[in-house]
Amino acid sequence: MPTVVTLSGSPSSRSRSQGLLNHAAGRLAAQGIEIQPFTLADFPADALVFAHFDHPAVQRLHQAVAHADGLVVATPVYKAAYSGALKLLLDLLPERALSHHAVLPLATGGSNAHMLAVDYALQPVLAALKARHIVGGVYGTDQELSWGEDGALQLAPNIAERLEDVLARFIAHLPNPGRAQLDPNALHDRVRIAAISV
Amino acid sequence: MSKKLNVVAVTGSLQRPSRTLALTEAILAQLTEHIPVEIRLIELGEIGPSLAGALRRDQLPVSVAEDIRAIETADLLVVATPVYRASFTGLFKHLFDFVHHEALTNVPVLLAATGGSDRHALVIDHQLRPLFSFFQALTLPVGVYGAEREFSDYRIADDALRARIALAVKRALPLLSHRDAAIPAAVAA
Ligand SMILES: Cc1cc2nc3c(=O)[nH]c(=O)nc-3n(C[C@H](O)[C@H](O)[C@H](O)COP(=O)(O)O)c2cc1C
Ligand SMILES: Cc1cc2nc3c(=O)[nH]c(=O)nc-3n(C[C@H](O)[C@H](O)[C@H](O)COP(=O)(O)O)c2cc1C
Repeated sequence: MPTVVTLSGSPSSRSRSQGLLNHAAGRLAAQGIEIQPFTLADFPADALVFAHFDHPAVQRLHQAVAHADGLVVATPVYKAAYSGALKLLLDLLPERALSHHAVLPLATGGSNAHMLAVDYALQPVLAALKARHIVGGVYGTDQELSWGEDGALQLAPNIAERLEDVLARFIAHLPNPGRAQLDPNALHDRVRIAAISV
Repeated sequence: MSKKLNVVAVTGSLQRPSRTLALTEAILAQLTEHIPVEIRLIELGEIGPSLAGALRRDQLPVSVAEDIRAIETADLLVVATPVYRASFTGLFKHLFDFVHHEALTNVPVLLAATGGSDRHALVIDHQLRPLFSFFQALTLPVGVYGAEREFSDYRIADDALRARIALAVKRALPLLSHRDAAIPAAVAA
């Protein structure tokens, strides 16, 4: 059974990005994927700030990420970038922590004008953690994510549709294809005949 | 400021009529209301064909070489591009690839762009600003982004956009001055 770690980067107690993440996690769980959720609340402040790698909570995160196939990160847009809270969580990860993972970014913002924060601010950080594959994410504005009477987050139809599409892609990328064998003798004959250098 | 400020504007659109041109002209008009300026407007759509074929500066026609020289000697640059694939246009970048890397040091640059929707507004801060940061230019604090819905018939049709233009110019004014009379040796050569 594939495993996915989720990181929620909103410090708010009633959080839209967390709500979007919950939707995603629910859909993944329905596909038989095991979800291991982490939020800021799982870590004592000093372990976060000083990245105490030997703290039990941080070790639990390391273990979970090391054994997971994928990671879903959710962040509100703050000051045209990801939240500091999400960065605190990402800073807990060891070097190259995501080299075996497919990663799905989710973000919510006050307006569409900061949508590119995902591509230009968040993606470079995920790339620096050597994410194996970053799936195009979902960006929702506050207008598209409203609170229902029951306290649950309601997704506008375009966001719900986008999330479905993106999750399907994410699931397809969870299996790690591993590495290619670079021994030229092991390559297919036709590749060898074409003299492609490797 | 009694001597006119030497303003060079570059507008990156390849087509005419152009929203980016309309935005550029509005910024220039706003500047003109506040300070005496002398304006040279470079339209990439016009110089595009000769620019695209050139890989080295000596392959450029005289008029385009003069445009680049104007960019390198401006007191203020106003640069505007349509958003293509979440960034500036290829031709816009190609033009600045010819500009000497030390010629824009400390030159104020007002950044502007137009796009199909609000979704790519951050091109100003994530694509345009780093480019001019490489040149060690003084990118002005407020850039202006306009979305298609704020234009009608390639003219500005939205008060919020007009207000952003006014703000960008107002915030730019205290930072404008004439370029040092001495042109850096590297450029003069
Ligand atoms: C401190 C702060 C800074 C914000 N900065 C931005 C911003 O730069 N751009 C934006 O689109 N929204 C901004 N917002 C709005 C939030 O991104 C938006 O409301 C988001 O949905 C909140 O997500 P959350 O409920 O998960 O915390 C900001 C909100 C706060 C509290
Ligand atoms: C090839 C091409 C790519 C485009 N890519 C984007 C884009 O990524 N984001 C966007 O907001 N608009 C995009 N647009 C829309 C233009 O940026 C927008 O219509 C702009 O206002 C055109 O400016 P102009 O009228 O000065 O040419 C694209 C247009 C073209 C022709």
